[in-house]
Amino acid sequence: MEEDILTTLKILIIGESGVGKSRTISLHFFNTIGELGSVDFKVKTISVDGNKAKLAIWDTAGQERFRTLTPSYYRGAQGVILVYDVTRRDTFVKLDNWLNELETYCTRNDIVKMLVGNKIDKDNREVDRNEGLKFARKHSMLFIEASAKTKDGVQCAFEELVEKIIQTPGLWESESHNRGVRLSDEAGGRGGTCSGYCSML
Amino acid sequence: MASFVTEVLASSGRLEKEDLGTKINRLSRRVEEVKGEVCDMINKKYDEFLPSMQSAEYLVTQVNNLNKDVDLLKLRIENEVQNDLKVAISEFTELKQQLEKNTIILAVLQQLQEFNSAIEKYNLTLSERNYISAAEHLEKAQSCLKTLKSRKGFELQVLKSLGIELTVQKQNMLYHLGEEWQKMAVWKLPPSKDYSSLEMILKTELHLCALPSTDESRSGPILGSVLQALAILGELNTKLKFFSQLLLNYILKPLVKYPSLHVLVESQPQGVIVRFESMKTELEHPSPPQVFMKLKLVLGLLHKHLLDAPLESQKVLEGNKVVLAEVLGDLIWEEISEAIIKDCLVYSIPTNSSKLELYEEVIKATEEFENTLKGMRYLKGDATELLKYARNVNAHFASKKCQDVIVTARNLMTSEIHNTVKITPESKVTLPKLQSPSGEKVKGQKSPSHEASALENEVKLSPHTFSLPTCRISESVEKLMQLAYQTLSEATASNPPCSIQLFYTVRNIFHLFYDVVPTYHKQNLQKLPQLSAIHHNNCMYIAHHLLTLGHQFRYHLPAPLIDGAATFVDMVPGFRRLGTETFLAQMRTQKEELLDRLSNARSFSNMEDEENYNAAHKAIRQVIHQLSCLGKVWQDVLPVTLYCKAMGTLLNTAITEMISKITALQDISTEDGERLYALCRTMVEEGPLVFTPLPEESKNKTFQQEVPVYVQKWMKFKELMIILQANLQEIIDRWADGKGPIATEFSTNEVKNLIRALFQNTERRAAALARIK
Repeated sequence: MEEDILTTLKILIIGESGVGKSRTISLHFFNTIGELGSVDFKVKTISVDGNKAKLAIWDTAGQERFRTLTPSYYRGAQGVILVYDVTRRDTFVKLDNWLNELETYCTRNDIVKMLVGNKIDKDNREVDRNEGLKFARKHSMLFIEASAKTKDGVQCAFEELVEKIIQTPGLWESESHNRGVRLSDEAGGRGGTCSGYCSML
Repeated sequence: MASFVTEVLASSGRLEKEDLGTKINRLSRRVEEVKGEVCDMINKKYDEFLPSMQSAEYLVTQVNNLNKDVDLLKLRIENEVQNDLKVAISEFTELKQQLEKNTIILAVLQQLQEFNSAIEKYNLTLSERNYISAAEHLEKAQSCLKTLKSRKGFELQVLKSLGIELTVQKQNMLYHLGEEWQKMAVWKLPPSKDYSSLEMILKTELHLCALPSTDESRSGPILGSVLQALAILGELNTKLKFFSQLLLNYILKPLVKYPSLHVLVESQPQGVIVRFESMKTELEHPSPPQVFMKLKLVLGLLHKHLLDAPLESQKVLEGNKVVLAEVLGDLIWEEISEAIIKDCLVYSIPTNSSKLELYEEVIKATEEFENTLKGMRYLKGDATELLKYARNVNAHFASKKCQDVIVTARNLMTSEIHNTVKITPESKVTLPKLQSPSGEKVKGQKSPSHEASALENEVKLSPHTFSLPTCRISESVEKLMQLAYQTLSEATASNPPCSIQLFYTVRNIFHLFYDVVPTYHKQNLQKLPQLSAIHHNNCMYIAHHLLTLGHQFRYHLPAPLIDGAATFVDMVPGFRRLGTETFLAQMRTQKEELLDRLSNARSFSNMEDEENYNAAHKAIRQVIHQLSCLGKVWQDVLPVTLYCKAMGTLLNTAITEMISKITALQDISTEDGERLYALCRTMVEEGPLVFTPLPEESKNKTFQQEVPVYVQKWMKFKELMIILQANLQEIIDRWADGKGPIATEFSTNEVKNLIRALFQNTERRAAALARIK
């Protein structure tokens, strides 16, 4: 059953804490909730247009609270799903930061991005659909809105994302040639209020 | 003639028809002439010369004979006359010698007589107590004796006895003079030799008698005459020296030294009495004007009663005028000026630049004091040691200040490190207010700020961007920094040379710190992790201040400091290095200790064996214990970020060691795997709990959750735990063709090795191993 798989794709799920990444997405796929403090990871085989692809899905499972994800999290990713909470504008505003971090750590620049506005079943919506769409277009991302009740939408989203990745052959075929020079694996980019204080460890 | 023949021949040769006749005539005439000449010649020689020659020779022999006779006669006469001459000469010499002898004897006798009369007069005058003339006579006698003795080859027995007599008389006179002197200046000294205590000094009295004790009419010049006589005898210096020593040790120096001592002058008909009284005073050291006043009083008294009197009588005396005050002044000045400087002026130098202006008063008093002494002729015109010292007050002030500062700084450095204060970004060293160097500059700075506001970034830096993170530093170091700031602000208020000296003193403080602290506290810094952390903070704190310290004061300091020399930035790297080196050394020690403890875990092999498991379990407990101890001592001390980094690094060391030991295992049974998992879980559960950077327990939760950020291998450790419990398919899934989490943490070889150790050799295992690539 493994032989007919076209490729294995690394997909990241990122976004602010509490936007319901694990709940909405992981739950639909895997029926589990990630453990805090470790990268939650699942493998899923998906079929798109008769092509079978294995998805290695990385969920931060709360790590984003620690301000930064380790660079290894981003390394070699081919697709990313950015999630925000339509009832909390701050999670939408923070998307810029996430895009920024993505650009900083991703080893490739043609990574396929999808924006997911979550929790549309709630009443107190703060971010308009059009707003999300506009933002997605601006950054050339795929866009859907979803909720705990719209499992199909999420499934669709994954399929759409995989399709887009497969349609970008350079992204998955020559992955091992396109990495360029890596100077350091663990380049620690921790900001903070370091003044004259010596960073030594 | 030959020439003539030649001529003839020549002419004949030319065959000219000349008259040969005339030529022959001429020739014969010539021959005739020659013949005449020859005849004449022969006649002369033989007729005239030879006879005169003979008579002349005869005469010569006669003269010779006569000469001989004359010589003979002369010889005879000479012999006779010389004999007589010798006799005469010796007679005259003898007469002359006798004459000389007589003259000398006469002179000696005269001198002896002079000597005698001098001694007689001396005796007479001495009994009359006319000391001056007695001394003069004695002096005269002495000079007589000296002239007598200077004659060589002329030893008289009497001279020796005369010499003895003279010495006796001189001693006698000195004795008399001494007696008189003692009557006039009477010392009452404390019984013990020790003149350092105040009580002893209080017993000192000096009686000065201007009048002689007996009532005689010519009492006036007696004192003067005594001193004058001593001067003539050359004994004045020794006498005055003794007197001056007493004066110095018992009166003048105590007056300089003890502020409570006051002079009490008692006038009596016969003279004055100087004694002391003690007045209570709070001053530890006397103020210079007061000291000068007291000294002036004593010296003035002496001058009036002892030294001034002879002056008038001396004027009468020609030649050797001795100014007694000058002599005494010479004797005491050096010591007393030294004492004044050491015991009085040194302490009067202000410790604060603001008091420096008030010192003008002291300078004035000093000048006045010296002038008074010059007026009393104690001092010669060019002696100005005191004034020079006082005028140099700025230099003294700076040296004193610098010395004080360095001593204070050193004391701070050698005080305990562990008394700490908390530094927060809000806490500031109270900066001294400095005037802006010039008004224009302030304006210049203000105007562009309006334009700049338009360009201003909306996102502003945090007000604490460049501040030192919250941590604890030694109290002494905070004080040290304050001292540096104070000294520098003192420097800005001082005159140029002084302020340069002060500036470099501040730099010296830091140099001193760099050398003293690591050496003095060496053992503690190595032994106690908390102290090394505090020391690290101390160094960072100092470095932090050094960054800006120079700039703050630069424009208030003189050239060349204002031109950029006023900086401390060069010291910053050194201080940071000092701090990090100490702390890193501590980290290394701790790391070694951790590894040492883990080495007891028997490489985590054969955990089935109860004993092995217990050893490993114990090792892990020890590691956790060591880490939690460190977590406690560093709590609230290290800045939070550094705390987390340090603890994270150490925890990382421990788990990295565990990972490397476990991945190296050849065989892991199911039981082993479970026990290893249990050990790892202990680490994962309790490891984060050692992160307690803040004293408030509730606030530490966030840091404990963030442990994966500080511990580099945390994810790897967790993946390892998953592998220890997973089946083959789960491992393959998490590997996910090199896209899964296992792949990011482990190398293919490590994963393959773990699979071989955990699973038996089956086809499935072979298939799984093939997927790992």
